[in-house]
Amino acid sequence: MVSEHQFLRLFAEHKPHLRAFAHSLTLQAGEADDLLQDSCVQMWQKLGQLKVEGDFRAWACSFLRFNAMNRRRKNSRSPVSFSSEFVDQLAAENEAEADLADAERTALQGCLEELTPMQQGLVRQYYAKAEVTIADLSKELQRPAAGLYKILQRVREALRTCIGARLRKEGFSHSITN
Amino acid sequence: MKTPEPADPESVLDEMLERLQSGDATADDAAELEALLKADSDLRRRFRSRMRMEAHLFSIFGADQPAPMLASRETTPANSSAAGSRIIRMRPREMIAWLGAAACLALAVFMWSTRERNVAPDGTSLAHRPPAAVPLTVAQEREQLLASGGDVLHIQFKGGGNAVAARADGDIVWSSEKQSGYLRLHGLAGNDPSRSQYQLWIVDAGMGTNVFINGGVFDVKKETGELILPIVVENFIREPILFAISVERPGGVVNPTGDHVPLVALAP
Repeated sequence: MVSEHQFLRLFAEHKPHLRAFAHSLTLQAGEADDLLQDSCVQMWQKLGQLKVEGDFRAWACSFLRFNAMNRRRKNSRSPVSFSSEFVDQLAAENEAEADLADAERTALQGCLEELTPMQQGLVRQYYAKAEVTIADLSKELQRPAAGLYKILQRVREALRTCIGARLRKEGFSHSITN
Repeated sequence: MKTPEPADPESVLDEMLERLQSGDATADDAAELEALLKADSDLRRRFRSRMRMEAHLFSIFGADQPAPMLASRETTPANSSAAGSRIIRMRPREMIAWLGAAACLALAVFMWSTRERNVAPDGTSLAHRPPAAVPLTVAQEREQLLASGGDVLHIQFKGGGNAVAARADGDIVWSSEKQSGYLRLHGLAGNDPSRSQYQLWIVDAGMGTNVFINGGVFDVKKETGELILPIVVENFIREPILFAISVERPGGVVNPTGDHVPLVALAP
């Protein structure tokens, strides 16, 4: 039986992975935060179901998956969503890549340090809030949106290349870039 | 006649992710992307990695890094019912003004003055003793911190179905810059201080998820309506990821027993 204290520790430990998983289900960062928070409460309420700590991640992912589908059904007019079957497929594939997801996050943190200060600044501003768009940044920085878009594309590409290289060194055969 | 080159799949993903993020994507866009991804397992794998990278970036930069407020983002006021589970982070434009020596001085003065108010005459931390009352000034200080912007986190508590928190809600306002914050609660069941006390816990990303930092013990009287308490911790909190309230023996414990955790609030 997993105690509430253990649950809180497990949730904190696995939160980066769960957030990434939620993001892949909702396609939008803000939605992902809501999904994660709601799912956390449900997990807590049904903690009795979880018998072994080692099952936590798969158990938590099942809540996210179920809630993502429910939110989608409730908001069926939302124009930006995949079909239920495809969300299921993505969810199953994501769950199978849990170790890769952890390694990607660690690699990303190292790769961010390799960006130039200007690139780091732009990434920080863009990702500081889930709702920020390039149009917002363009207004804030008084720079053309197209230029910022290209810079962000190049930064993402650089990060992907860097993450891929780091993961290959760690022995991951399938990484973000190959 | 020259055939146009097919679009680079990565560029298609970049464009689609930006459109999704900005809310400009349509049902046709989603259907087109789904068809593209279904047909190409390699592209689908890259898509999953891309989504994870996006999520990790939001997670890394969204929690505690100061960033100038964008013109289109106005601060959302706290609303315990409508806000529900939403996590509200505020980074107003005034944050820019903090980037200078004058701002540093102002911050230092503010931290000093806040520290003074949070320490009892006998030198003990107010957070480690039961609150005698809810002075209006604490509520005002909370509002002041909430309105100060910067890295202020405003997180709603959620109950876990525990009986003592059946009708409870509340929130946390916390600033890592100022190392200051407030706990606000409504409807938590009253406790008998001779038998048990509530204890606040904070999990900080910098200290590891196994470490529960003691945020102090407090009591809830039966007649208490709204309870607002300053949070004073001895450890430096860099990136709080979780706040929780547990029921513990009088005086509190070094590590939460985890028997009863009525409320929890997750930082983004």
